[in-house]
Amino acid sequence: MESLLEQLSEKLKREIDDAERLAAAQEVAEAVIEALSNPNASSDGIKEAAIAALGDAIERAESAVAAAERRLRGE
Amino acid sequence: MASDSWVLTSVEARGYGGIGGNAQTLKLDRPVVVLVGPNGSGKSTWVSAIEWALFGELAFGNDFSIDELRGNRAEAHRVYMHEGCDVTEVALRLRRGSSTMVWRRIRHRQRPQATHDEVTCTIDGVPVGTDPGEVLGITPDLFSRAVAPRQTSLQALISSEDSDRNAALDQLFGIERLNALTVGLSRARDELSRRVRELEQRFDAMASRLREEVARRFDRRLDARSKALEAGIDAGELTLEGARALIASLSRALSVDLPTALGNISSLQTAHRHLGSAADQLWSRPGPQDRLNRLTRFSTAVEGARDRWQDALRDFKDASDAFEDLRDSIGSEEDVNKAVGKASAWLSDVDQQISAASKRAAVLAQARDWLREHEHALGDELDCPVCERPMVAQELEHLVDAAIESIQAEGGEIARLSEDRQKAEEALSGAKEKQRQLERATGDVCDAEEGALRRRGELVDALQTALGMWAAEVADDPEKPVVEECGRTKAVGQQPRRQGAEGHEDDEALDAALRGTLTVGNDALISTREELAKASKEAELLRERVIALQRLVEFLHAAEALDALDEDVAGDELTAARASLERIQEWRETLRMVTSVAGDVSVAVAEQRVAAVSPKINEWFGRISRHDRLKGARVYVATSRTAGVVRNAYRVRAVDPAGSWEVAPGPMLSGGYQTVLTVAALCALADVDAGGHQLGLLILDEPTQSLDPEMSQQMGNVLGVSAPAPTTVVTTTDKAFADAVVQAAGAGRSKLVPLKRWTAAQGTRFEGEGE
Repeated sequence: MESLLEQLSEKLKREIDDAERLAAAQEVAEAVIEALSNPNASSDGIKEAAIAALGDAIERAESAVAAAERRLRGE
Repeated sequence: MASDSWVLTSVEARGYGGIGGNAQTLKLDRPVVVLVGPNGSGKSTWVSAIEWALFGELAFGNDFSIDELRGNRAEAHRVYMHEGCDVTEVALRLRRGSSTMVWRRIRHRQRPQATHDEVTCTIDGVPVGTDPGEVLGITPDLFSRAVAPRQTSLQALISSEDSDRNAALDQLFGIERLNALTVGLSRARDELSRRVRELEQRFDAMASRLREEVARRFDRRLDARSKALEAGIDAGELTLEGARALIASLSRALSVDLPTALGNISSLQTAHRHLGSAADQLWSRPGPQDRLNRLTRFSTAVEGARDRWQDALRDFKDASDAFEDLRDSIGSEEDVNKAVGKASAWLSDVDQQISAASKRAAVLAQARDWLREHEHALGDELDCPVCERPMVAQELEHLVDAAIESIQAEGGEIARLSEDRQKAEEALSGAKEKQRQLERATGDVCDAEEGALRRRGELVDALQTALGMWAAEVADDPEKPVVEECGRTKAVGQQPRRQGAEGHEDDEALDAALRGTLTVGNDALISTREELAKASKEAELLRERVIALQRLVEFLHAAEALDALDEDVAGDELTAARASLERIQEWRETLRMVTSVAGDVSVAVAEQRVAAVSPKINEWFGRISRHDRLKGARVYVATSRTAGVVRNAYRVRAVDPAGSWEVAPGPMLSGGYQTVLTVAALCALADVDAGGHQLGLLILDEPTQSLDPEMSQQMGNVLGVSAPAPTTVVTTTDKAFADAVVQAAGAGRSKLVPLKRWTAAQGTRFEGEGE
């Protein structure tokens, strides 16, 4: 798995110039490779790991949109 | 196999399947072990014991699949237990370097479900987990493909069905996990995209609503402006200051003290409500409404009373005139009374005459009767009962009859008197009728006079009532002359009315006073109405101004709402939402990149695996094959991507040395060479550690199916010389094949484990020593 992670990391470095985005991609790669190391790893588990690697970005976006909606409703 | 693989060194079993209750041990102390024996001797039982020990079930197929064994069907779980044994136990010993692993499974007949098995695993005596996946990286499915492949699994490797072959080779190459990686990442990207789309849609909908709301509020402000201008507000007054000035003006006019400062729209709305309430109150009862009501009540009541009194006076006059006319017509009461007396006397006189005549007639009738009752000779004389002179009876009788005739006969005395009597009666009746007429006329005059007096009293009462009303409700200044006039008139009315012509003078005096009072009252009423109309007009104007203020406040409110929306457009929440969306969109792009890179890696690994395995397959096939042309084999892989998911399509082919002739499994390749191709593939994969697990074991169960003796011999030689796994177990019924394996491998690297024919009494048994 370490080898696989290294391969992914090396290729990501070649593909992504932006440092911040590369760091994010590395984070995702580490999360999914860790999930893959589970003997019972499944595609659903990988998906969950990748989503989880985003942290609460989606929740923050949903909260932000909901807050904007409330503002427009005058609440 | 991986260098860190665990090598299986022995299998100890008791009470498992055909193995009896006495413990037996299969020592796997050589790289190559060949289990040879007749059909049913227990070769496959020993091989399956390894699988059962690890997983508690065997992947035999549908009949005994794990799915079929779920639930509490105890008999189904006892299928692995030797008949008559209460306990089944299989222990595996494995070695890696200097470490020893002991894996043990014990099942009891009373609780035969796998979940109740006692499973232990120790490494160098230290207990560790009992998940084969965690300890050995092996799953039931992988075991059945890469460690102990059955014929169906072997066939899958070279299946003509793409999906079966690709899945089997993906798993054996260890690509399956990479597939899971790309599939999982792709699903994550899809999931993220879906949620991003939802958020974008919500954001877009929000932006759309915002635009609509801006337009709506703009229209509302425009509409409010038009209404304010229509209500009389000047364009220059459409400001907060304009509203304040209007409110100040209205509060003065309506005498309203406003409770709040006029700092914002809300305070303006509050001020408007107060002013509106005051304006409505004023508008509903403007000016001296009470005075108007009092004067109206006075005029209505007194005029009504006067009209009724005047009507009564006219009735009285009419009755008096009628009486006078009647008296002029039929005479005075005295004249009429005299006529009645005279007619009565006349009638009495006639009645007396009739009575006297009747009496005479009666006497004459008695005389005639006497004369007729007494017979008289002719010439007899009798004294006349009337003149008392002697008269001849017959003459006397004639005289009596004549006298009776003159009284009673038609046209006689009584008849004439009767006519007189009728005339006297008629005269009396006529006189009495005139008398009654005069009496009625007199009564009418009296009644009319009483009515006039009663109406006069009512009139005075009406004046008194009006005075009482003013006393109770306090008269306004304009009413005071009316009150004074009313008082004076009432005093006139309370003077006793005299009789006759003087009474008429009294009535005239009262009516003159009354007319004067009513004139004063009407003048007050008219002036009050004018005053009221003026107040109403002022109230109406104030109300219109209040409505104009309402329109102005509505305009200011609409303008404020529009301004507020302008602030919302650039609000912190919207900005934050937009930034979050952009951030998550970047994440989506990042995830896309990771997915793409993972796909690249997956493709590269698949290609590396195939590149590593393909020469090995070629070697193994070449070693085993005795075909005239097909001396080698190849594996190809072609990858494709769909939405980031990598799909590997494998092709396994037998080829000639020049590589110019390829034969795919199927009709063009015999069953024996398909077996050779399969065994070559398994051996090649074991060679290059493609299985991805840490169990250093390969079991080839009857690998010589469909092979002719020469090919069997060849395969035995090859397997003996080149054992593909740290421990390779081969089962066979073919003694020649078994001998070929051992002979080729040599005694130091191999051993033959012959099994006796199985019996119910003794179960599976090994021949010879050591087992």
